[in-house]
Amino acid sequence: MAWSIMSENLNSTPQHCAVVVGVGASKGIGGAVCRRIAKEGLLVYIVGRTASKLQLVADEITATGGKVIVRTLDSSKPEQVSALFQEITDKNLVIDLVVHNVGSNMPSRFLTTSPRFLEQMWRATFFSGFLFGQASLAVFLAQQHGTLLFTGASGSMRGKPFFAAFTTGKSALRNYIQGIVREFNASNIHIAHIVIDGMVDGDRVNQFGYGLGRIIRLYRGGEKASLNVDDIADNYWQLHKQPKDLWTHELDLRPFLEKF
Amino acid sequence: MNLLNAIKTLQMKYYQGCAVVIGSDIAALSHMMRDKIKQDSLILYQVSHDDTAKQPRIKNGLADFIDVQVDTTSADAVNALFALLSSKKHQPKFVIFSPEANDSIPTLSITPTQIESSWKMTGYSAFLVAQAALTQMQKVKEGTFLFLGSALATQPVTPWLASSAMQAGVRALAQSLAREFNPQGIHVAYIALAHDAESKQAEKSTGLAMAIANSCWHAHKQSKQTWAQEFSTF
Repeated sequence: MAWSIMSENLNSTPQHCAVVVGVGASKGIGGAVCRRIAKEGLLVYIVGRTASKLQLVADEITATGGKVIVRTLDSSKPEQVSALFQEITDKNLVIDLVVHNVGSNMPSRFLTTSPRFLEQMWRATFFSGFLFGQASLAVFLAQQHGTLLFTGASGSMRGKPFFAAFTTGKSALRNYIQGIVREFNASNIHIAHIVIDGMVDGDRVNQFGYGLGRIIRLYRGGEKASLNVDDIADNYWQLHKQPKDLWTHELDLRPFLEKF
Repeated sequence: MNLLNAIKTLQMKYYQGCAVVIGSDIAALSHMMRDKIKQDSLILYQVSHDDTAKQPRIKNGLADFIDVQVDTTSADAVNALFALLSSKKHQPKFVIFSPEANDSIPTLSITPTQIESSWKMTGYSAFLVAQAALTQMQKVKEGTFLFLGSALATQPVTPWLASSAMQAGVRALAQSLAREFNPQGIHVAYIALAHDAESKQAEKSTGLAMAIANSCWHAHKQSKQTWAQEFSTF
């Protein structure tokens, strides 16, 4: 597959938009980032796997006057990713910001981890990021600007025991990001990797194991020891707004009580 | 553990120890390893990747050197290889995995198919081989598993970003496995080799193969109290 976007479709007064992929629960990083971007007046493409969850986030945003478009896709399918970007450029929209927020961690003992689990984890953590990276870069080069942000994790930085599958994909993605930062920085494309190094106070954690996740989070210190999703979203927006003479390429976020 | 398993594990402790050098472009390295492993009276399995070998295909079977071809991207084939070792009462004490090096590709020209292929030959294959080998080592709480990697894992360079990313994944896998298996008495480490345009050609040279073999042997012979997790040879 070739990564080409027709830049001639961009007219002189286009509407600007952002694409956030990996949106799930309303109280999650993806949902919070969508709300934060929409608050600034950008049209937001809300992209994820589950239509009902996307619609909840969309309804919240439109209720406060924001503009959204909802798209359901599997972010590890090249043809679906390609079609999304083609649709956006066909509409003569300028993409100012793309946020890749796909992939959740899941522990497993190495000797009983199935190759299928490894493959699924790699497709969610690395392959999806690669597909969105390649598609975004093609658009941004044509536009001569753009911000590309990736959500990372502790596993992006170090391989912990029982997270072999997760860390294999996440570390590969971080390396790819470091490579494209060096290659495309001078093309006015701001690329950054945000390391979420701690437990997130979101629905994914709180609803894990019929509420067991919430109990664990509270046991570990509750709100003070958890990352707040709206605070995380603020950091994403600040990265996007950084002036080009002072760009951050990696940002590690953790609660003040987190050991690291 | 039931009595039968306990007896089997005890028997395995007295199996003939073997070293396995497995992956792509491994002939020079395994040749250099042959002299070293004699010090520990180990048998050497030289296992070359061949995607047509869905079952282990023995090319040469000498008393102390067995030359095998196997598809290292097939779970069934890799498991069959280690089952072959068990059937011969050979216990893997030292395994070196060397994935195929990838060609350079301009970043925006990397296709999904190319990155999937690269993944199969590096991260996926590394996982399969490590899982099969560590399953055997874990039974006797002993062994060394080394991943031969690249400086690209920590220093991505255009136009090798596909290779860089895959190597970073294997490096993280090695870290995770070291943390899971070191406390069980199994040494897992990553050896990062210098990367340059000629690196794969250079690996075939006698001098470099000897240097890599020395590093691998040194890692294998480290005492448990001073295990290294990563060796940078660049």
